[in-house]
Amino acid sequence: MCPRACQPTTAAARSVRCNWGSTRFIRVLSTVLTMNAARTLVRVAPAQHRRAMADLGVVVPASSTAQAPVQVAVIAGDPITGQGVATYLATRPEILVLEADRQQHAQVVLVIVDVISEETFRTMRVLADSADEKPGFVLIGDDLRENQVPRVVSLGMVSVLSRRTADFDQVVQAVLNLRDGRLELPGNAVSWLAERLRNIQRKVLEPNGLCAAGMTEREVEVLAMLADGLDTAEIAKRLNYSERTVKNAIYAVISRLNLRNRAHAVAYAIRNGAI
Amino acid sequence: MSDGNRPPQRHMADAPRTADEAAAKGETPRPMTETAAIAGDRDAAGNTPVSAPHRPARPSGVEHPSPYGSDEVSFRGLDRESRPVSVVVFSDDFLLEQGASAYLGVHPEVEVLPSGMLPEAQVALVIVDVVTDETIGLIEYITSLAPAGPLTILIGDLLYRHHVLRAIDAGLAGVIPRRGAAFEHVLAAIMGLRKGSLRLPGEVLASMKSWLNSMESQALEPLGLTLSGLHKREIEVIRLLAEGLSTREIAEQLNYSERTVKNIIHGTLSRLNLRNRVQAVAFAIRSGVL
Repeated sequence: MCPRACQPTTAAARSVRCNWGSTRFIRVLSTVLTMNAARTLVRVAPAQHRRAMADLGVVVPASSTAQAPVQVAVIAGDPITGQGVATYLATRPEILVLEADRQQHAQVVLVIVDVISEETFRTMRVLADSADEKPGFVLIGDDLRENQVPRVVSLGMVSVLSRRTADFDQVVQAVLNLRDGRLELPGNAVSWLAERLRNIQRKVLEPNGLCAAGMTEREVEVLAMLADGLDTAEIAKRLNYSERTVKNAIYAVISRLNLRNRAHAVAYAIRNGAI
Repeated sequence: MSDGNRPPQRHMADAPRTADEAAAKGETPRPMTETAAIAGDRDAAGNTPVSAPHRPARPSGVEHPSPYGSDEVSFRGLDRESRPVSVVVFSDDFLLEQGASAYLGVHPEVEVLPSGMLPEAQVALVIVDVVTDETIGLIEYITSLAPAGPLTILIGDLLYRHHVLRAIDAGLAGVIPRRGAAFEHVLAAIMGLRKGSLRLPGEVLASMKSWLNSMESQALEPLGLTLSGLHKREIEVIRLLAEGLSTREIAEQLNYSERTVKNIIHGTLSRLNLRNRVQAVAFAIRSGVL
């Protein structure tokens, strides 16, 4: 029986028979019920939780509330634009504009240009390499050409906004979204990404017998059994391969994908949906 | 609602998934529903054939045309017509499905069709709270009706990278995050398809991009391939072609024989269906590798 001190407070909790008779049970239950009610509200995912989930291959949308201001460096094609933007952003509490000599600490670099050119990308590459930690970029310019998209993609986390239409609210939102791991890209870039993805699956991975995680069917078979706790000899017997074949398969995965050991390989396979 | 011809217990869980998926999960084949009847590839008893590969297999010989566009045209989108957009609604929550159909049916620019008319619809809406392998299987099924079939919009959260990859690979035309999704977003997305804009949430884009980056370094580089589909050797040769060098000059510079250079070029042309060296150079520049 529940001790007097912990009378169930919610109707649902009341309808549950409390077998344990402990205050802890009731607290847990009401927390669960409140959480369920809160499911319809915006989910708040602290950055560490989000990163941990990202490790598992789970893409968790984060909310931008209650975090330290984003450190932003402003790079512009001309001084008037640069100073104007920096002055405005200084009025926004979510953003901290860094001085020129501290730009290597930037989390997000705002790049504002008239025309997106090869020089733009060179500048961005230099900034990315010279920073302490590789920053994200919000590139504000127009008419991103499709053949420039690979460059954008290879520079890391880069959002692209249209200079013609973006206002400051959108810029700030893009910076915050980038910090939270969300990209904004123009339609042609999104189509390019989607088309590349399909092409890689069909023309590269499939013809070479690789799955989406970059492993062959045999490697996946072996890793699946490793994940079940079997050792090399048992796997060899089950799959009717020699032990050497099994070892080679494991080694191939580890070396090709730059993994450290079998446990890492199994984790990688699970995180990427291969097993 | 005009859905008198739908069997009362129709549920998304019964929707056809790929045979291989069902087998991989070790489940017994599910009874056929009317949507499976449209597919026409289930056997007479209504059982999906069982086989064992680990990934859902694509129907062989059928190249799904991509809605995402090729070199000339970006996202296909809907035809720009003035008549209402025909939509079919799927959900694993029957109440939700009814409500969505009713709400959208009221809107003059949208016409809601029963699920039996899926191939004639222009847009398919899939609304779920939790995206599972089943959901992705449904999306793959709907998109396999292309090119005449509907464009698919998912209202849900794509949390797992392998779901993102499969959905994009199948040709999903739009994603609306579940939290905070309201019908105005849905309508905007449907109308956006008309204008040819592809809607994907920022985190899905980030996931796609990081997968491309890691594929590039892990799966492509070891094989000498690049994202553009050109081999590294081919890029070397084409780069020199773009400088105006002749076959012999290229062979000298790269230390290959002339025959090798000719073979490389010919291989590129035939594999990528290019007509001549000029087009190969243009292709390389447009793909961003030069």
